Amino acid sequence: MKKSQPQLYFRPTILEMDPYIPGEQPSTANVIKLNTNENPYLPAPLVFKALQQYSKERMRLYPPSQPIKLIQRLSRIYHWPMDGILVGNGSDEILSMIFQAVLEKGRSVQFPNLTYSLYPVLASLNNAEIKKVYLDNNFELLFNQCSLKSHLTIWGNPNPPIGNCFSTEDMKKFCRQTQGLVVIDEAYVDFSNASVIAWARQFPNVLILRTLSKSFSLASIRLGFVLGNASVIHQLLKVKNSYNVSDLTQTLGMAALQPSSLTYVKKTIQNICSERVRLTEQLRNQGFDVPASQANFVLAFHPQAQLVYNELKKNNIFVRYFPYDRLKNAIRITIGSPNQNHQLLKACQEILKISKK
Amino acid sequence: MTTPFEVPLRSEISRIVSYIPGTQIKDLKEKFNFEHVIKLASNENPLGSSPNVKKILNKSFSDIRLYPDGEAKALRTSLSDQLKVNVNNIIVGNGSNELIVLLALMILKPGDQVVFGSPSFPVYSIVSSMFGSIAKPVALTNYTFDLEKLLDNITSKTKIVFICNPNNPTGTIVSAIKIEEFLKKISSKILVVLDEAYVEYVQDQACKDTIQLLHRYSNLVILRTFSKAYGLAGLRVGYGIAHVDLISNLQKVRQPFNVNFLALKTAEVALNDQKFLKQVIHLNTRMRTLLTSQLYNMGLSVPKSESNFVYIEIKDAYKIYEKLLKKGIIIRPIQKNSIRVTTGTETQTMSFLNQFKKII
Ligand SMILES: Cc1ncc(COP(=O)(O)O)c(C=O)c1O
Ligand SMILES: Cc1ncc(COP(=O)(O)O)c(C=O)c1O
Repeated sequence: MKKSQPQLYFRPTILEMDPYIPGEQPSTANVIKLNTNENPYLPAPLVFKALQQYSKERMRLYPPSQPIKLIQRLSRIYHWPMDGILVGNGSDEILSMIFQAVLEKGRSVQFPNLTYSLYPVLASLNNAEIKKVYLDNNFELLFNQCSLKSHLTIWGNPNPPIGNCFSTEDMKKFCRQTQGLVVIDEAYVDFSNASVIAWARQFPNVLILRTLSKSFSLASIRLGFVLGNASVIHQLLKVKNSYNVSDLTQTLGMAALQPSSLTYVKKTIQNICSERVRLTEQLRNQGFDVPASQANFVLAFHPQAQLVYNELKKNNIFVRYFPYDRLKNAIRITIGSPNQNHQLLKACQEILKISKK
Repeated sequence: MTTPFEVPLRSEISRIVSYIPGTQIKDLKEKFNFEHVIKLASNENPLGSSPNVKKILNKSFSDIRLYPDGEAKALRTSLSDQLKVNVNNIIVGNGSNELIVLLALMILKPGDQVVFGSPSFPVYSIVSSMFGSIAKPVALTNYTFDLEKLLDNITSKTKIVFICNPNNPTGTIVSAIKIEEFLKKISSKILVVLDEAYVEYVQDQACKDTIQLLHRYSNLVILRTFSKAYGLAGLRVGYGIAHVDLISNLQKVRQPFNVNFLALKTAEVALNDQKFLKQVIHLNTRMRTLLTSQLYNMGLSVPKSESNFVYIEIKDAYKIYEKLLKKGIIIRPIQKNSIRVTTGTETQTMSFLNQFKKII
């Protein structure tokens, strides 16, 4: 093909920005995949039934542009007005819509220096100035260093990759005082008791972001939603692609939100939370420093973290290693099934034993 | 929630006119209590998708909990084999709609200009306003994209040109030769988006072979979709083919997992069933001929369609649309004096023709 000169037509921001780097998706079958915070359990049985019963007739048709049934169901579950709900192709898409609708050159967005790594990518995509707010030694966000004028502020509740929740009091005070939009990303909140959904009722500038990728075991179908004030949702809808959520995704999502499915999910969450206790304890016994997590992963610090990461991979166990300064001695481990966690712990023990010799 | 929302959004946002999707089968069933509704409004495929598609869905359950392959390697490899282009020249999107938005996002700034024919696919104008750019619609000549006229409208501010081929809603095409002449004349700084959503239905060979143009024009991107001839509109998969530098930048701006796993799987299976695709094309050609000739017999002129729909100029389009709705048939009114009708199965197409005859 002809030599191209992309600099001729791409916005400079695009040429310069670093892309988001997703965790590896190994293609071999026999791996223990604890690197992208997926759920070790299958989705609820009703989801399977819905998949089997899904009619081919539906596939040929465009999906409803607004997934009304899903929105109704979410409205019932979360006691939220329907016009305050927006459903997206994963919560990633909703993040991208929010950043696009709010940010532009000359505006700023702030988030913790350690958080979901898609935020900086979306910020630079929209030419916004990025203000990173530092986490202290206990990974608490220093809200007194947050600007009240930033157009957009976002953090995780719990916040990855540590999995802790920031001080409720500080978070709330900030929501009350800021003039900007606040997005509280609750991707992992079902693994905690820390949801602050109610704030989005109290403060019209607060959005609560949720996903079915983690607690509902549905990462592949891409389904997320946001709860907020109707006036904000109304604006976001303007940047929504007309048919953003697949019809099959809408159908499986409905099945996942039925009462019996919710009961099933609750049980799997309980299992994951008790495994989290066990994994944290045992990793600490092995010499890892593990901050308490309220998510479906733990961040484990060890001077040999990078070695552990590489050796685990040789054993077909995938965890996540981030090339950032403050995390260079850490690996992030998704909580797996009891058996997967057992194998992980065994492998870590072996690796550390050998490396000590 | 009595406090008003005061966060300032980007000024472009308030100027966006949202896309209005067509009436859904469900809406109509509920409104009039119909058992059967014939939808010929959104250029969907009456035969649906390959029979192999359902089988792959049933086998996919155990992987639903996992994130999809964000790079869509398997589907891109299949496309690469079939199209004879390198994997790195292909990107997959959440419908080709998403790719249109990403291209705009990647390039447009406030004040830039976007040129396209009119009437054409409404999303071109929506994405222009989304990024504060100026949409420059150029009237069709004889229901067809007039590339000479497009050229006349290009200024130093023009950043993107959309060519819809075949054109939605008129169904007409321009030849690859004309497209090449156009590409020769315009600056290689302007991105030319060739939207080939309906290309599989084209019979005229001279318009089908546009991929070879990519070898000579680095500013060309071709968009295609699994929503039409492959019958997978509900699952959301489209793809783009272009120079590797353009594709790699597009890869940067898309979301990491933009296409859902079941869509990737079914698209791959559908692509590999070219026998089924032939049946789809065969039926479509028959129904398109039937519609065109019958409408002609009614005294209506229909531009020569190379797509899966026909465009009918007729007075009181919205009234006709409403009347057909009451008969359980959904078509798409385009303007106050034109409608667009998708080809159906033989029975569906005949039902439409019969009702339409009675109404006009
Ligand atoms: C904090 C956070 N938000 C959002 C997401 C994206 O989730 P989804 O699968 O809904 O796009 C992730 C995924 O890893 C995440 O960690
Ligand atoms: C010309 C054209 N381009 C693109 C699309 C979008 O198709 P999809 O997003 O389903 O791939 C359509 C759909 O109607 C269309 O008519």
